[in-house]
Amino acid sequence: MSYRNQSEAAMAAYLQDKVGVPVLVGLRDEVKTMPCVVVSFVSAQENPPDSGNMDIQMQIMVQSQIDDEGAPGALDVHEATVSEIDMALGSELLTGINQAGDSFHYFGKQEQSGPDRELQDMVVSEMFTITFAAALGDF
Amino acid sequence: MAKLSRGTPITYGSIDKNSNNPTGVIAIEILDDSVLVSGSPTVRFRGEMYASEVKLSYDADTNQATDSFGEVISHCTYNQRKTLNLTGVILSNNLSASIPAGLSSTIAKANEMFAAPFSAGMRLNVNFTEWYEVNSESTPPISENNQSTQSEGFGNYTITSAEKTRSSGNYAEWTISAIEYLSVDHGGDDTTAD
Repeated sequence: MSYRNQSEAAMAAYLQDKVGVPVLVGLRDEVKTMPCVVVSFVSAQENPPDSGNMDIQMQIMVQSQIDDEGAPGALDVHEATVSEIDMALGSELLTGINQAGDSFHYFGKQEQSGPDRELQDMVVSEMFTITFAAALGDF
Repeated sequence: MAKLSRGTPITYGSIDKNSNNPTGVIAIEILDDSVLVSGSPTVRFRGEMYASEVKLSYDADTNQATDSFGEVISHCTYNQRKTLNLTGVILSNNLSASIPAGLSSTIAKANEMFAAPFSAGMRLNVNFTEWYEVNSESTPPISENNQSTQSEGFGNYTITSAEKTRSSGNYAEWTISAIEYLSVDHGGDDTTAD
């Protein structure tokens, strides 16, 4: 698996335990139903060079449809999910992403921003951007 | 023009990625001569470093003779020495010869290697195959990711200062300065500073 796939899989598995809505990865072969959380690998830069360790930037987006076609109480679920993601990305919990046997190791966080809110066609999106040091391996 | 279109060999990076050292890691060893075991110095650290910077500098003290106008008419240099500065992150070193000992590739072992105690005044041996001024004169140490066995080298350094840094949002890092005083004779063919 590539860094992209493995990082997205690890983050999605971790967040799925923390929230009550489906957690999807950025590129998928399934229809998205909202509310949901979408985990996307943005980029990675090796640091230090030749070490195989990467500084990885990921985006975690909570998406909900808040019109008549959306799920009942979608806004409440949305707000609760944003709060749960906020908690899950906290440093005291995020080390829980390191699961034995998943060949993914999170060292520590470098930057985090968000949630940045966007409303388009009655779909509200709330995006967290996180950059962290990680390696493919179980340490 | 040919150089521009085809490239030209230039030393690049902190470590060459030759066949002996494809991962770009230097092995280092710190010896405590004040505690001998069966006549051999105690090894305080034998591990490896991703060197982000390896800096070697040559220095000497100088004296000048001046004439009545204050102009320097002669000078001499003495106390010739070279100073090695190593900066990089310390790895777990999953190898039986590792000190601190332990055959594992874990964060705990990496923490143990990082926290290996040593002090200024101890000797520093480096395995740096392609840089003889740095490579240890005595048999260089090997590590998990640097099994190079190149033994020719002019390095015989004593640590003068070291820093271990853990900072938020970065890998923990060592910075070591070590010095070697030189007996240099430039009168003959041999100009190697060993």
